[in-house]
Amino acid sequence: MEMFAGLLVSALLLGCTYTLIAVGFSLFFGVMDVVVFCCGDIAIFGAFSIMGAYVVLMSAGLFNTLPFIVCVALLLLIGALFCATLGLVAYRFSIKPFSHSSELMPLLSTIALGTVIKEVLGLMFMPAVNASASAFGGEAALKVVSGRNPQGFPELLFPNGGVNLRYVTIICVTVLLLLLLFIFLNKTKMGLSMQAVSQNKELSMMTGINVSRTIVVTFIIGGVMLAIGGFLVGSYQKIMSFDNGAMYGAKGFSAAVVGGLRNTWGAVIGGMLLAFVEVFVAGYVANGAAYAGVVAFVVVVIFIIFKPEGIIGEKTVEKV
Amino acid sequence: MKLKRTIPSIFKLPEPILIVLCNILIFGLAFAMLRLSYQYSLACVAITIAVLLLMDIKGYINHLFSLYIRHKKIAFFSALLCLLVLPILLAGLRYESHIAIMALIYAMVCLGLNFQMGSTNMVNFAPAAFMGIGAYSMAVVTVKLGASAWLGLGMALVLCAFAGLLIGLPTLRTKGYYLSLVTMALQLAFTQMIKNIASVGGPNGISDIKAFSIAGHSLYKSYTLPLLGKVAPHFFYLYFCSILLIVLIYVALRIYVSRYGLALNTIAQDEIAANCLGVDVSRQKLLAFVLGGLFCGVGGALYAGLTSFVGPNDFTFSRSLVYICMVILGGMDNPLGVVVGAFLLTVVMEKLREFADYAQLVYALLLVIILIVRPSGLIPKRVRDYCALFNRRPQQEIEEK
Amino acid sequence: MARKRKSLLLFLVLLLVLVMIVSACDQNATKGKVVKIGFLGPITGGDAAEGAAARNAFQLAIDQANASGKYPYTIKVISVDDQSTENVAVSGAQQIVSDPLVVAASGFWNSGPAAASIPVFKEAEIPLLIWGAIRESLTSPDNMPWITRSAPTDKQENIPLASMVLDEMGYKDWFVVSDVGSYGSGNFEAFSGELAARGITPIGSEQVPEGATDLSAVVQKIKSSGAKAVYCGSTVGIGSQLKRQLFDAGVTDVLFCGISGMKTEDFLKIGNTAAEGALVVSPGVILDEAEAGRKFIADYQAEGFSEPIGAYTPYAYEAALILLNALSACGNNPTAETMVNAILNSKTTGIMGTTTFNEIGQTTNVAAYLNVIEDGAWIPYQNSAYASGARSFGGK
Repeated sequence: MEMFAGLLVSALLLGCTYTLIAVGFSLFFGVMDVVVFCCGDIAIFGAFSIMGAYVVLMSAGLFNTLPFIVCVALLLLIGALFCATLGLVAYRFSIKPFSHSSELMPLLSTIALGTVIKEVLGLMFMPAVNASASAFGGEAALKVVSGRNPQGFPELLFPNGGVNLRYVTIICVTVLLLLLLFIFLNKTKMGLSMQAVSQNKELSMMTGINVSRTIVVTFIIGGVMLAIGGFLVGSYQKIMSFDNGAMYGAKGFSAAVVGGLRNTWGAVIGGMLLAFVEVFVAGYVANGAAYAGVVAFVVVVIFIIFKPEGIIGEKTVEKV
Repeated sequence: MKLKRTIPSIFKLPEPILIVLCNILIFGLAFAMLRLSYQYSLACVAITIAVLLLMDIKGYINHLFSLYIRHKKIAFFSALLCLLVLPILLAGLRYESHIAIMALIYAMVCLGLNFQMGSTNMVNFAPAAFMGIGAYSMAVVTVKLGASAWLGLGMALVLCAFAGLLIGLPTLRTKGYYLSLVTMALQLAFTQMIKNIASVGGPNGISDIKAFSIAGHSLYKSYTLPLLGKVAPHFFYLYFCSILLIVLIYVALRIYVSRYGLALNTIAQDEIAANCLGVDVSRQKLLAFVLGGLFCGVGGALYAGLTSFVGPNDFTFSRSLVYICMVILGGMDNPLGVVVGAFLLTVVMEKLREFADYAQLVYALLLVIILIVRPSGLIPKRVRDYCALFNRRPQQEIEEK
Repeated sequence: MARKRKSLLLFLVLLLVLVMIVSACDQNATKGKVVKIGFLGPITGGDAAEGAAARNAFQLAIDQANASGKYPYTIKVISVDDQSTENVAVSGAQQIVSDPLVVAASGFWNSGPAAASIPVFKEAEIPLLIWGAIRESLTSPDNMPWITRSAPTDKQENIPLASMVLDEMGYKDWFVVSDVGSYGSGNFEAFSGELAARGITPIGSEQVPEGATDLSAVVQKIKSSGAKAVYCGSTVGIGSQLKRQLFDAGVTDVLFCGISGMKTEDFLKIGNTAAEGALVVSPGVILDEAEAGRKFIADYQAEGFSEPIGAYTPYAYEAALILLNALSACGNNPTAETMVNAILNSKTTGIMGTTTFNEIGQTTNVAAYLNVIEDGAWIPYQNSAYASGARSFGGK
């Protein structure tokens, strides 16, 4: 029973990280009709920029002068800024040029862009931080190591509070973020126009919606979501590697597909389903950890073949 | 005749000699790229790319192609002669021969990938997995079962065709992104499974794979030949791979200009329209996967025979991305362009090994740049010339008709 | 059309001339008598830190030999990157053996690239001395006399750890974890073999995919299995993640031990309290304790290399010393044929003790020591508070 509870918590946390990345996918897909495959890499980039900014703030002594919570907010803001910029770059250089060509072009170009992001992270010499020492205001061990080594993510969520508080925070932040997104999409003018563009681009253009501005805003919001996703992934995993993005991207995309690509709530359900399958297969099948990833992909393939519209997506009938 | 009359020979050079010169130049260039140290080799690659682009902008490429087609016998035999001479030039040079063989093998894989990606516009993210299936069946047949390498090649073909069928089945129900995701999932699952299955060596792979042999003489062995002396072990293997590649290019071109190739292109343009025109979309898609699988399988089997070792790390997702990059660089849906792309990228990859930290970055940037600036690749696909390429009658007669 | 034809020809001629000029430029002349030695290792890619440091040490040894003036020729190193990848390693091996001046080579930190490249060296009849790849099957009667190894195998590396934790400390309830990769499964089998030899059946075992980040399911399994000791046969990525997630899940009352792949500074990034008490075996000897070792460290640091000395860096240096020793046994004109026997029969005393090779080309010099993390630093077990009894491992 204790094991079951433990696995449940793990699955829930993993599901939260998958969900936030899957939401990014479904946001972009909804508005642009393209799969932005570098979502995972953008999220990891966000986490790395938070790490980098943390070191800079530390060495500037800001953590000693400002309250801790303000600093964390500042770091999140910086990460969000970086990711939003990156989202716009992705849009400008790997999606917009292909708006009139085959739908597979942006898929390829965003995969390539993801690799570029990943490699840039790997080539950058990330200043390593001795994570636990520095969060208590201690000396930050500023040592230059290769970006390809695993990096320690700083302890920013209740450094003195212990593990359970951190886990609760991760889940709460995810739920809060999803609620905010829901309110934004359904209650604000911009959110409604995003939905309108998602349903029919030409018609929404006719009703006076500034489509290109809507797209830009979508990418900014998606970038911010991914930055917070990367922050939570980092806080959960503690050890980050520059090439984690591809894995999270694949999982996030799979989650979005399982849930239904156009539907934001589908992303939540898909992310949770995928995480539960993975964790419970690894937990209850003998030597299952080696096969957990494969099983998750098998689930995805089954969904694609037999229910491509996803769990709560609407079936689309191709019009001729 | 009309065409010919409008081109007065400025240099009094007859067209056949021009073709022969051109062939010598192409193979000389290939030799230079293989042989030279990396600065010069890369300079050659850069010049080649620049010239190809310029020739395309000015329309010379089409001119050259029609020259070749008009004198296809001379073109073919002079190219064949060059191809026969090339291994002799590389006789004592192991490293260069090795790169050459790798380029040939990659070209085969890319030709296979081209059926799906180029002709039918279905991005298959699993060419490395297909290649892996070929290589592993070769390994299992020769090492675990102790049979000959030829049987291994046969097995590779059968299994790869079967895998093509298997991976193709979802295509009957899905397309676009979903199809790409299925291939991606299968690619990732393939490497995972290979690592988990102990009977195919698990993560350690399989070593001591037998090379191909004819009448007891191994094709991958260092012989002492008259005139050449002791040659690199790659000498005969290079011939063997060249011949196979020629056969595969022939098959690919034959399919390309056939009704079947046209049907694939129709599917790429518009699936519903293709269906309305009476193209059996499901069958053609399946065939594209089976054919592609066969080509990759041959490549895989040859690779296993060359290195006599297979391991899971040579058939990963990132390898697949490299093959995709090769196809896009060369020119989608143009078999010859694909071969050129495979050769150029292999040389670049090999010569830039000192800067391997940047290799992935360079591929990815290259891919983005090509997709934005020139999605049709170095040698874009040409307007189909059904009769000209394989018809026995000279083109002039057809034109006169 | 006429103009087109003319410019086409002009183009081709221009191209031909360019290629000729370029070919003419490309001639590198060498002066004096030169003997070449190949070096292979992961100089770029994920294992670059280990490979580049080894390359530095190897080059350092050769440079010192050239400066000493003991050799009547200049020794050059052809250093080739294998990127930890099989196909890259094979073409790199071809590059080395295709040079007619090469008399021997040393290479490989990863077992996969080593296994893939061995046929090349065997076929070319160039001796290869492996400095860092530990898969047991690399040295075998089949590979004699071309392939030798100066590093311990995965079995040899696990023996000292097993005798410490199983015989001396007497842990009985084991949970064995590794990755599914070549390194992981080699260690998995080696340690399982040690357990079986003592009649111990592990309570549980799990293999996780390489690069896995979420090991919580495995942690829960360990937690509910009631294991008293955890063995992790993997590299630092998975090792540190497992240690931290065990700590987070409250599984602190266990012994956490593992293999040298984890002994890097990166392990400490999970935080001092989480990392505390990890017991890891390292190959070789503690360099600080002997004069030769201290000199090596000083020389290495004097060169100002950017990569720190890794677990296998001394082995690369030692491999270079063995090759140099064999070279001096070959007289003034060493060839690959004479080098084969010279390496096999060599007896080299370097920084890690005296190395000789047994009948399958494996080194007989097997040394290893244990390390433990104490207050956020790796220290040799024998000097630690754990050995003195001031602190104790969990699970007792």
